[in-house]
This record gives sequence, C-alpha cells and structure tokens, in this order.
Amino acid sequence: MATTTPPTRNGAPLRPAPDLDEVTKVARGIATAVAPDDGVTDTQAALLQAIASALTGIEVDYQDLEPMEPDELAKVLEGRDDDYRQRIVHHMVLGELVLRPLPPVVAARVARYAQALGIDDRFVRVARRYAQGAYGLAWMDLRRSGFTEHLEHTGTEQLHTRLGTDDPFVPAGADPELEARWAAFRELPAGTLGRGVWEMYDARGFALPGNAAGPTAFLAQHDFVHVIADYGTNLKGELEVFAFIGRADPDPKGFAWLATLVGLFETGYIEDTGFFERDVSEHNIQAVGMHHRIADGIRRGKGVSECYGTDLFAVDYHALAVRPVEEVREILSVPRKSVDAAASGSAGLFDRAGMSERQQQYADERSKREG
Amino acid sequence: MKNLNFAQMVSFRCDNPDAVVELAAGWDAMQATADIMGYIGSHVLVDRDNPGEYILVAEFGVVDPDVSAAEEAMRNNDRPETNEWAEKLAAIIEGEPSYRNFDELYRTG
Repeated sequence: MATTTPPTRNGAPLRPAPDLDEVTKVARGIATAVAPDDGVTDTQAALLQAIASALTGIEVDYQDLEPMEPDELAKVLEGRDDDYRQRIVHHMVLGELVLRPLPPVVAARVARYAQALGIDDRFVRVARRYAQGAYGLAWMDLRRSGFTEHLEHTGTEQLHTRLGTDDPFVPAGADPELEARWAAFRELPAGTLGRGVWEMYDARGFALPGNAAGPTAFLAQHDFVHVIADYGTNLKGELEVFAFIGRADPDPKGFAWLATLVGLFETGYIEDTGFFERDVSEHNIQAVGMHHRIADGIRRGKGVSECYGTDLFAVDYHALAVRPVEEVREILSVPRKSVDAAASGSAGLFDRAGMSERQQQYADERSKREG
Repeated sequence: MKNLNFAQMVSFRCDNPDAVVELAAGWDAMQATADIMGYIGSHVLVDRDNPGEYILVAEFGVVDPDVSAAEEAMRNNDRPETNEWAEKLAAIIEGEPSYRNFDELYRTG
C-alpha cells in the first residue's frame, strides 16, 4: 500500500485549509467581537471580508452573520495551533483598530475572545489603551512590544552600518561608508535589486541611508521590499508594503507594522513614530479598493512567511543587490499581486500613481530642469 | 450615568523638578508595558506665580464598561508599585503632598 507524505513548506507541515463552514464560523466570531452597538461598520466589513477572501478564497458577507460567543469560537478553533489562533485575534484587533472612537465595550469584548482562544497578545492591550484614550501609553507599548523587543532578536549585521541601532527609527548621525555603499547601487545593471532601490531614491529625491538626512539603515530595509513587492511610496503604498512585511514575519509581532500604519494613516491614534508622521487628510483604509489591496498584502506576506520563513527586516539585501529583482522574488517566495489588488488600483513602485503628490512634484520639476 | 474619566491631583513643594519629571516618565514606561490598565497619563505642572510649587495630574479612563474610571484609579492606588512610586515621590519633595480627586465633566474634542 502506498503511503503519502504530507506536503511541507519551510520544513513545517502544511495546515489544512479551512473549509466554508470554518471560515464562516470564524467570521461570525470576529464580527461579533468587533461590532460596535450598531453592528459592524462598512469599513470593518469590507476589510475583514477581503482578508478572509484573500487568505481562503471563500467569500463571507460580514454584514449578515449570526453572532458567535467566545467559547463557541474557541471550540471551532480548538484543532488549530497557537500561531493560527493568534492570527485570528490579530484580525479582530485590526477590525477594532479601524474604529475611532473605539468603544471600550468593543475592546473589552475582543480581550474576552482572545482569552477564550488562549491567546495573550500585546496588541489586544494596545487596542484597550486606545479605547480608554491612553494614546501616548499605547504608542509606548506598541513601540516597545512590537519593534524594540523584536529588533533585539533580529540582529543588525544585515544593515551594514557602524552606527548604533538603539533606536531603530531615529538616525544616529552620518555613516559615509554606508552612504557610499548605497550610492554604488547606481552602477549595477538595470533590473537588479540594488539598481532598483537606487532608482527609487533617485526618482523621489530621497537622501540615501548613511546621509544625516536619510533614513536609518534599519528603516531603509523596507525600501528594498518596495522594489521586491512592487508597491508605491505614497501612503496607500506604505500601508500595502507594511501589511505585506508584517505578515511575512513568522513572529506574530510583525503585526505591529500594520497596527502602526493604521494608527498613522487612518485613525490618527499615533501622532509621530520618528519615521512617519500622522496624516489623516484622507482615511486611507476607507479609500476605494484599499480593503482588497491590504488584504492582498497580507496574503502575499503569508506566502513569504510559510515558504521563506524569515523576517524581511532581517534579510541581507546588500548580498542580494546584484541579482535581478525577479530572482530575488523567487528566493523570498514572493507571490504575485492578485488580480483584485491590481484592479483596485495597487500601483507599482515606478508608476506615477505610486508616488505621493510631493514625490510627483519633485519628479516633474526635475524632468523640466533636465529638459 | 455616562462613564467619566477621573483625575487625581497631587500638590507639593519641591526643589528638584527634574527628579519629579524623571519619576513621572519612569512611571509611564512601566505602565505602558504592564497589563495594568486604567491609567491614561499625567501632567507635571509648575506654578509660575509660586516658584517651587508643583502639581501632578494623573488621569484615568474607563477600561471595563462596568468599572468606573475612579474605581480603576482606586485599584491602581492599591497596587504595591503605586505605593513604591509614592514613596519615591515623598523622598524628593518637601513636606507632605496633598491629594484631590476629580471626575471629568468636559474635554475638548
């Protein structure tokens, strides 16, 4: 009799995909947990529905679900591991983080669901702080729990900087060697990762890492991901790239990235991170098509997490800089953008629509100057 | 009745405001990464007309809809780390601090 070996990814057995019944029941639990008094909002429903669809291929109408209590949801998920249940809790947290105001009753309810699922999660606590109005403490908590502690485990060799990285977001001064290293990417052949990231900086007039006016070497890591995942650099592109990076991290703490960007660019709970400042002139999650674009970023990140299994901030992109971007995508197992995301306006890095107004203005003025 | 935020005001005299600010910042850092909820934040204010006189206003909000912010503050007062903090404050101020408790009636936006 023939035997079969379960398929594996990244050395771990593949989880069985949830069926329609499980996806619907989980959706009921999430919707019940995050619903304000008047029921789930349009933004919550659109985002959670798009995420469920992107991750499972199953459509669920979040506006039309029967309630499900915490214990019932725990029973549905009892066969799933801690990581899976924590990701479900993160979907709940995302569902509450898009609310402003965030009613304390919702934050307390999500905490009860997390407890029933056996998940002790810092982001649940962050949401509770938002709900009580403790925005300063919430950011301190998010920064410490999501970034600083995480960086302590990531290491910094891949950054190729001699500057201290005590604070990953605040430039610690100039590092001429690092700046020269980035400037040298200009000499690489077109289509390589290094040349791509240099062109991105050049087209937008960004100061290079290592320059006192440039980003920290740590933060600059995400710029390589803009090239690899082909996301723009306006606020919507940043939301996409960090939805992708956060979910690509095998450590669920990666959710801190998306949680932070939602606070910056949708609800305004966060004022200034040191790398981005609050901008809620447009509610970017509510913008047309953004629910599909964020959901697709999460789906693509999940693919990387399962196949490549390394935090994208821990990758030595300098060692990959000479390779064609397409080859780097294969190395990192980056899935292609979905049809839904593209149809919803997900712009590429070098598309004009992928630039902010200011970046477009810079490109236009430069084009005029150079004739 | 609507759940109201609560504030506790501590008045004191001191000749080392930097130490008070450091103590307040340390408290925030500790609270931010602890599972203790209720505390929102604080202000340390100096009296321009009476040099050496300060107030510290600690704010508390509703975490559990069934527990008032004032009750959250009282729970916080009962915690050992709060008593330890109060002892540190007592060590850097002159004389005894005075405490007053307030329910919030209005807040801008």
